Amino acid sequence: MAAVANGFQLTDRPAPIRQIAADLWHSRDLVVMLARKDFVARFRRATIGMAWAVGLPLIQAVVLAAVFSAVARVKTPGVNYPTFVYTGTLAWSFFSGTITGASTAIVDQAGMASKIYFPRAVLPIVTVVSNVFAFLPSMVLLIVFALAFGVPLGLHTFLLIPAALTLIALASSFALVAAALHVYFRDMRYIVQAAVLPWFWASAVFFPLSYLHHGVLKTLILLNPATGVIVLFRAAIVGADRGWTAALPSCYAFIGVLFAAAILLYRRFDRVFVDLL
Amino acid sequence: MSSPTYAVRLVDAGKRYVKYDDVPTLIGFAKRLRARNTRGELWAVRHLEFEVAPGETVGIIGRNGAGKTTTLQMLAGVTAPTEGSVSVHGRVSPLIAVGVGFHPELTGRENVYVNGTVLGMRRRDLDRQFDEIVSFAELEKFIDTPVKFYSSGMLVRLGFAVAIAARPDVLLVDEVLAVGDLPFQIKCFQRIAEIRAAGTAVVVVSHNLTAVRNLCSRVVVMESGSPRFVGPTSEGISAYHELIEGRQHDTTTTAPVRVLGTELLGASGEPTVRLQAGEDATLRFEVEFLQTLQDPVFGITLETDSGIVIYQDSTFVEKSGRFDAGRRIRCAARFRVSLPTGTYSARAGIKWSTHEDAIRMGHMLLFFVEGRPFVVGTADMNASFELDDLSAAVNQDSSEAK
Repeated sequence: MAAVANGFQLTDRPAPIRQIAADLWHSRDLVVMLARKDFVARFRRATIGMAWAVGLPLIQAVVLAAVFSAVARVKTPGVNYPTFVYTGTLAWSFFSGTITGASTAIVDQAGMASKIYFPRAVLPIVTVVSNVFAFLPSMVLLIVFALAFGVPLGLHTFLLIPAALTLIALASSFALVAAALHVYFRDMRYIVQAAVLPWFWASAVFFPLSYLHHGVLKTLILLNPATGVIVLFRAAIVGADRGWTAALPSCYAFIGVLFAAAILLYRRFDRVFVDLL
Repeated sequence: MSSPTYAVRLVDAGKRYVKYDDVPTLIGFAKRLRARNTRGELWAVRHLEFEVAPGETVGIIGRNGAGKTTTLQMLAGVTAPTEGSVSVHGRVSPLIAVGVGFHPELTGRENVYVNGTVLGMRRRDLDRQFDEIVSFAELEKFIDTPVKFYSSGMLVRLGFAVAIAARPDVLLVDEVLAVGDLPFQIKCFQRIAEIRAAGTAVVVVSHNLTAVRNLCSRVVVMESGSPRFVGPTSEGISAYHELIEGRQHDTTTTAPVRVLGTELLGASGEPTVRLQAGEDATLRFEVEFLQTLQDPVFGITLETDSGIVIYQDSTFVEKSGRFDAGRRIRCAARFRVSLPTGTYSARAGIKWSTHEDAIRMGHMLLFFVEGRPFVVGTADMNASFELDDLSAAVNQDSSEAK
């Protein structure tokens, strides 16, 4: 349910957090409905649409694997390199695609948002959910891929669940903040797009952590929250990078801080975003 | 739960907008921190205060730019007031012309679900009411086609059907009364009446004063963001007219003439608001000359309730002569009522030069015409029908040809 059943009282002061949480909870039907609409609209007409959603990270993986094993001689002893890379590109693809897409989520729906109230946070969340729908077939393909390359499954495969949840949480927290900021700073989407390019290289997608020597570079890469998610995924599929747990604290710290920032932003601006749309 | 005393309440509500010269950017923000420019500010609404009780219908009228849409946005909960408070008890449903959240690639069925959910309906409500919505919109045959193939009329019907089905506690109607064909409008009005009877509060924003008069028990008259009148509809509409005329006084400094009362007289010579088609009626008004004028033009205008001009006529051709300052003249324009059944408005006025501001008009009078039955349209030209039998002539011609 979008607008809260009991009504509302609006003043110039921010809404109590309890109210925001209740509004969001009541909007869960709306999130599912809008995500399905987005998903169906994206893939209904384009015959290659779904294939593209699955195929793009796969193609990226193939190219990267070929380039970096042959040209740059990145070696992952004991671990199948193509699967190693594919795991990384899949997770990265979801993350980067979600945050770039979600940054314009509120502004793109200006028409709907200016006519009726629903918690604006719904819009970036819908982008996340819609991308999750597209992500699931890729996950299946990843497992098939792994098995095809002789990578064994085992207890560690269950790590896929916390890995997926962490990925979704990280993408959501960035998405919420980016979407809110983009309303006020319309260059946000370009900043995000530009940041995504170097960010990829610093996220240990195509090289293991052991490749890094102690130093500023290694610290930066460990502080990168995306690294944490990617090594978690790798631990679930191809086996853990040496010293992988060092990447996790930063990841969860970012998630916590960004969600807190999102709460503050939406609490203050949820009912006035429209003024700038 | 005890029923609340009000459905909608605004207390000293105000909304201020900041005008940005350019699209705001992060880079721009950094620059602005150093140079403190004065940004343009605009109070779209200020010190607005009124209440709507459950089951009541209140209209908001005013010129364009008076703050009506901003007020509606605050009532929908879409934007928060900068000052004061806006309180609503229950669910708000804005009745908007085109479906909110409609996506062209999706079918009508899918869009009903999306639109309904955005308006606050639960899935099970939508399942239950789906057939009702489709039959109200008369789209049974097309409901599974993507809406990009719908005509604008079909889109409007579908959007309305969903908004009405949402069973809100507060219904906001924004200029939507002019859309759709007449049978559909009638259906909408009937449904709105049913919802009102069930206790929904309705807030109407419209320029169609006849509709406002028919639907609303009270009106709020707004001008430049401030409420100028809150009270019963007929007084409010008069206040609105005075406001408009007041504005006309502002545009030219002093006019050389003043229009005093305007009256509409029926066949009997008495003031009336009901006229019969085929009878004579007179539009009579008084004019006071503050300066001497040569050959002013006295004229009248008749319009339909949606503002279409049916007939405009004046003394333009016959020179009216010279009128000295201080003279008071009564002008009576007598005409045969040749109109079908309906509601109309009449205005009289005087023009003293070809300059477009050189005109003063009297109050707009609404009147009703009881027309000849089965006559439809804008004017009743009173055609007489003659039937001639041609069959005999044809037989004669063919027999001659033989």
